Amino acid sequence: MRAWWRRRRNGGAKAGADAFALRLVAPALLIEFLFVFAPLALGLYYSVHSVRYFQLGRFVGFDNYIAVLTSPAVLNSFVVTAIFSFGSLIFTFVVGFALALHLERDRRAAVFMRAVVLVPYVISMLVGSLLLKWILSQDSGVPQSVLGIFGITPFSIFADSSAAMGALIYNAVWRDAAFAMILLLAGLKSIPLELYSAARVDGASAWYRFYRLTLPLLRTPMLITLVRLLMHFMNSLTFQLILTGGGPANTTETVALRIYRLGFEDYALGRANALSFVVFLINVVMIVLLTRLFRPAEKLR
Amino acid sequence: MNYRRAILLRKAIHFAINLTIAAFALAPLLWGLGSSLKPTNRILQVPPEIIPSEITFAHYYTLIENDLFRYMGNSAIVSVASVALCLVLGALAGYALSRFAFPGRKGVMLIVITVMSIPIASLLVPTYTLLANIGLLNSRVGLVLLYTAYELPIVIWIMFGYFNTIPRQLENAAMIDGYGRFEAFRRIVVPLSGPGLIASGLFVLIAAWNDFVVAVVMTSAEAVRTLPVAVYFYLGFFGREWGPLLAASMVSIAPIILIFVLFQKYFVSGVTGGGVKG
Amino acid sequence: MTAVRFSGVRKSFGSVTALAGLDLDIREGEFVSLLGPSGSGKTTTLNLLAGLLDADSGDITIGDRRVNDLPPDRRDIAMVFQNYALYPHMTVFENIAFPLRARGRGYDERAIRAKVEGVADSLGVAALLARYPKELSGGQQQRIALGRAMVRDPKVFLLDEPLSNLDARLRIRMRRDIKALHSRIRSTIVYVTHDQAEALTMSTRIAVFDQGHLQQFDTPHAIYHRPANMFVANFVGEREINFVPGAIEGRNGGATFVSGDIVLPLGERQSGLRPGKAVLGLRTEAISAAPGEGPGVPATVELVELVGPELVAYVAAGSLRLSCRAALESGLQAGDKVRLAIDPAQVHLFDLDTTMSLAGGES
Repeated sequence: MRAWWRRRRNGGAKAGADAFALRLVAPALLIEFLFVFAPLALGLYYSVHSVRYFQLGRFVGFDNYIAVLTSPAVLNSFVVTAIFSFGSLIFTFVVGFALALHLERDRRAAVFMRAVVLVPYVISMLVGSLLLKWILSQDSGVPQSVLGIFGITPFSIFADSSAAMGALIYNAVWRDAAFAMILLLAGLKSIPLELYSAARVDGASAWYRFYRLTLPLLRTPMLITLVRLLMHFMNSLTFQLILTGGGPANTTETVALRIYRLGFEDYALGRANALSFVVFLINVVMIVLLTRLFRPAEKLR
Repeated sequence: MNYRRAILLRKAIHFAINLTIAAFALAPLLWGLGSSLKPTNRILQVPPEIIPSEITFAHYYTLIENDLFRYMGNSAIVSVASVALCLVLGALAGYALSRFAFPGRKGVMLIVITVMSIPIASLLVPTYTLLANIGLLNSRVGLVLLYTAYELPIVIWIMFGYFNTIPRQLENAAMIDGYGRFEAFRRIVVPLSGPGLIASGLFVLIAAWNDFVVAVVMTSAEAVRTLPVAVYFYLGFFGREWGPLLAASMVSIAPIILIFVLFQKYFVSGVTGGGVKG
Repeated sequence: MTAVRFSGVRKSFGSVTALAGLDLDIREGEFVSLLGPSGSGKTTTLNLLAGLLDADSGDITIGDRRVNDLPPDRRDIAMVFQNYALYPHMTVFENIAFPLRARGRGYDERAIRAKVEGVADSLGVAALLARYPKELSGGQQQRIALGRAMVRDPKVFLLDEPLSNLDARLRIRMRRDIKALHSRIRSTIVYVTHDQAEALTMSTRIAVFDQGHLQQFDTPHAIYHRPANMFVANFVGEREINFVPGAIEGRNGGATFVSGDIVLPLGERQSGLRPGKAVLGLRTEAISAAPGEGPGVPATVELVELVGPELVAYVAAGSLRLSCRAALESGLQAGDKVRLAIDPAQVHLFDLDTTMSLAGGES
């Protein structure tokens, strides 16, 4: 083995280095091709065929795409996904931003609190949603007690479609506000403290410092945070699968859950693959669009 | 001393805010923990007891009788194997990207970034289709390979960033002293990469241990069932019997919380993908 | 008239005392340098004056106002930071205009434009107004930072090591420019630096700090030629000063400093010293080395440096290691035997125990 490297190195430095580097990346690339790109290709292939359970049938062109894109359940799931994503995005971002500003300074209390708010993020989504499901269900007795305080007649949260959506968004904020906080904190910390000192001496109030310094200098981290959160919410499955099960009456069934059901409850692999590919394309378009939208800001930095 | 009083007031307000935040963040966990220790008849009591008046481990025993240790074992095997594979492959690839301007480097970078942004939701069905075709459904190996494929890009990214902070002169010196390229990497660079490897490993470990979606789709056999999937199945099995369900939840998150507390500072660099500098 | 006064000002960070009771009076129009190594308390002093830190006790006044409880923006000061602290997302124009806009009153757009352009003209940066900070060289950024400080005509300018990020040549040029600026605008300037050459060349007075204590506050000439203690003597000056431990013998006109081969009759000013242990402080230029036999202290050359017009020789005289000057023509080399001559006008004597100056040097 060692002799092999030696020989190559003496043969020609550049060629030897190239061969060495390619060998280093080859295993990683192999795995990505086999388990990310190959499935995508295979899924694409399945999506233009009729599939009965696991039997690949004849070529059907865009039939599967037409079927899913005209299905009321799928169209409903797009609307639900949009509502859930934007609702969660706004609240998670605002709460995460507030947490980042509140816990920015490296005092002992702040460091401790950062760890505390991260706990819902590091535990598994399944358990997080399960715990919230338990608390929000009438079995736990919590909704009855809490709603009573506000003078609201207790009702079953998961039987009411807006309350169920609210619960989903609450779940998202509870788990992911800390994620937003971490990304924004990293951004905040990259702003030199001297700038704030300078602004204070220059006579800028706290509010003025915030919107003339913090906000513009945080533009890129904010964009990154928003995009990553949006992608995460648009494709989230666990929240819906565990907390509401898509109910009541499919009013919280998001696209990811629809795909899951098409694929693993209905075993309609042709249509499920078609919808997966549509979702994949939507993601690509969103990423490209969002980064283009904010591109002019990059030039300033 | 108006000034001092203002500082004191500020501290009090800060403390109150922190207490509220902590309550919102941790209440579901503490509530779940408390309930998992209550006898069944008290769990459903309305109004509920905040602190259990009577503690029982009965629900945990129920779990042990229901194959808890097998599921934990599966989770541990799959997580550790994924970490090992990710670290080896990720360190190699990250090193190549950090040190060599080889043909196709930009392409590799693009692949890394692309895979990081592909949502798993759109991969589930196609991947299921593929695994069904090549016979990797219902296997721990299949899970390990999938976790590796999904988490490898972030590991490559973290390691790439970390290697960039290690001066190249160190390897040059080692190679002048007679090391080959690979020896220079293994004996000089790897020993200096501890923090990067820990951050990456932690990230993979948490992702693999916590994963539910991929595992529930790709495995159905009890023999290879991981802990989160088991929790999900308990949900169906025990129905509205919350005791064992909450106990299983606690068992599943306890190791992660422990690891998080121990390695907290490394965790952040994994989440931010090695830092989001503006 | 007093522009800035510190009286009994203390500041600690946890158990570390950053400033242990500072008393300092700065007159209007003065250029005062706060000089010292890192951790000496000079930057703490500046930040206390700026209002970026709060004093534990004592009073700070600017003009005739006690400012301890005033926030930075109400102290009528402007500050230039070490890394310039230019706002990276704003043009040069907006950077200079920031202090005017931040106050949010009294200036319309036309007044702002006039002010900013006036300042930019006076600093020779009018052509840069539309650029962003990252498009500027270090020297240009430095000027913009000065411009941002000047635009409000503050009572006091605070400068925190503003030249430390520039290369050596540029630093010397900016030194001249800032001094010229001061003599033009005649504002009070408080200037923090760890570079003794900057302090000596620019200041009207220098405050030397060490370990949270003010060591000496005097004109550059006095700081250099009449250092109050061994710390000041050693910290100020291009090279480390030579300290020679020894003793004073005899008295009344016949006082002599003795240390091994060195026997130095003390001049008139040093007479009246009591006999006893003392430390002699000799700057490099106070000792001249010449080759050959003759009067003076015998020594052996260990190393020679060329410093432009002359040589600096590092020599061993008995157990002492000394730096001294030598003529270029002497052509000294390592290993040469030399004789050292000490200029009695340039010697400083210190108390061995208190490190305080006993007397010495030219006046």
